[in-house]
Amino acid sequence: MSEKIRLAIATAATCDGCDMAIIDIDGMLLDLFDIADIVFSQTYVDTKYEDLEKMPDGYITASLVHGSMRDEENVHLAKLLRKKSKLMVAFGACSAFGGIPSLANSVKGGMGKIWQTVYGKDTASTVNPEGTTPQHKWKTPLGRTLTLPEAEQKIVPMDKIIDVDYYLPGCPPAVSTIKTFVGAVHSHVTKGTPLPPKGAIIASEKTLCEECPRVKPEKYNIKKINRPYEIELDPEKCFLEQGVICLGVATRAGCGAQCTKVGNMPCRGCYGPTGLVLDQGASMLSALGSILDMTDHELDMTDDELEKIVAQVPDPLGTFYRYTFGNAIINEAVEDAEE
Amino acid sequence: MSADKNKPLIVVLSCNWCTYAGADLAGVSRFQMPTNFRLIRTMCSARIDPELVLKAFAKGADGVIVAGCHPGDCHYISGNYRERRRIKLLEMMLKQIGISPKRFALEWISASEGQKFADTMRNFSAQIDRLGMSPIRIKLMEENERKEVAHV
Repeated sequence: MSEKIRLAIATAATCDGCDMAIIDIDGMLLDLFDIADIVFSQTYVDTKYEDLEKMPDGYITASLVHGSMRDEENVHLAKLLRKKSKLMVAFGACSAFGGIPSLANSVKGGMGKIWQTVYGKDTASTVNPEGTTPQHKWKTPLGRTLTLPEAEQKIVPMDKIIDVDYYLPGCPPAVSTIKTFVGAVHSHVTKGTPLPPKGAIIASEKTLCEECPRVKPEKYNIKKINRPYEIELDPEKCFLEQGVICLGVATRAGCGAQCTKVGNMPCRGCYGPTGLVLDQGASMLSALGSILDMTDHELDMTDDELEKIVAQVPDPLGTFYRYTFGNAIINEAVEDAEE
Repeated sequence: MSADKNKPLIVVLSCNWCTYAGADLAGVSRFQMPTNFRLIRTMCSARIDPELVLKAFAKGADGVIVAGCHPGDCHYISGNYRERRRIKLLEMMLKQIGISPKRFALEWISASEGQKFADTMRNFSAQIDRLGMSPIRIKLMEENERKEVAHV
């Protein structure tokens, strides 16, 4: 066989769950290493940024980056890898949509406020009498200067920073999703089959409901919204029918409906918006709004009654945008003038 | 959206059957109205996806009005009942994002209420005037200025 392809599996601001997911493809790892060598990775092999910098441009065949773009080091790594690789893959919800860390964008006052909460006197659990905070630059008594990367003001998906070729959504991407991708690369290298088109999201075009085996009623009408722990969850019935907020209606399929099928837990939306909408949160809000407690006295419903109905959703932003706030139409909190 | 740099911009998303006809009547009756709103007609207020409202704000609108038929009058029977739940939920979400709820309104205006349409526009426009430019629009303008400077 000809020369092996070169792979980089890089981590940005991540929980490393994506690394675990790659290992989870078990038997297929042998297929992968038949055709590929890992030339750069912080987790699997001992490589440093210097090694990466020394590589010629376009040396790496494909770079898989997981984790969000939280600080300048993450951004630097993404830009550097783009230069050194032919294909860039946003691996996992964090690099594809911003992920859970991007919910930090919803804090009014931005990084300054977050800094204050973590290191300041705002929180009772913080003991920091001297007000010590991490510094970008620090001079040691011996005269050496130490630096730490500075946090970005807001988290955006990786494709807002560099050009991305493929997306593998999920938190973490399902084993089947990774297998599809590895299989496509494998047969491209060994048999010459064409790769998916640029910009492809390695998942389905439909919503999760298409994959979910639960029985769906003809008509929905949620009388009361329940948290998953508040009721005994029926393993056969649709979650929305049981009054549990399930993001399946607004989420891309492709994970095999693991949570709803095996876990008996509602979908939380880690596969991101479907191809036809711009914004997952708005799409879910729209779906839930149309089935929320339709009464028989709509004609003379008062504003208070209406407010009571929608107040059952305690945190619309955090619930509907759990994984995709960085990718939303409005993806950061603003401060409006008071009248 | 191109308009006078400092004039507030208002986007009106209306239904075809009631509010659009109401707006038409206001025009035909020559009621005085501010000129800084842009009306977008949809078939039903339920067609106005929250996405559209968010997009209007993200593009720099200072205020958004969603308008449809009165309860009980919807051409499609229950479209406006669904829309008012969405709008209430969206209001909660906009509050979390930090956009003042005063920049956003849901109004029921029927085909015969030309006067109400004109009054709504006058009052809402005055309210937005008092609030000033939306924080997102200010940010967009600053970005554009920076780009222009970089270009020079």
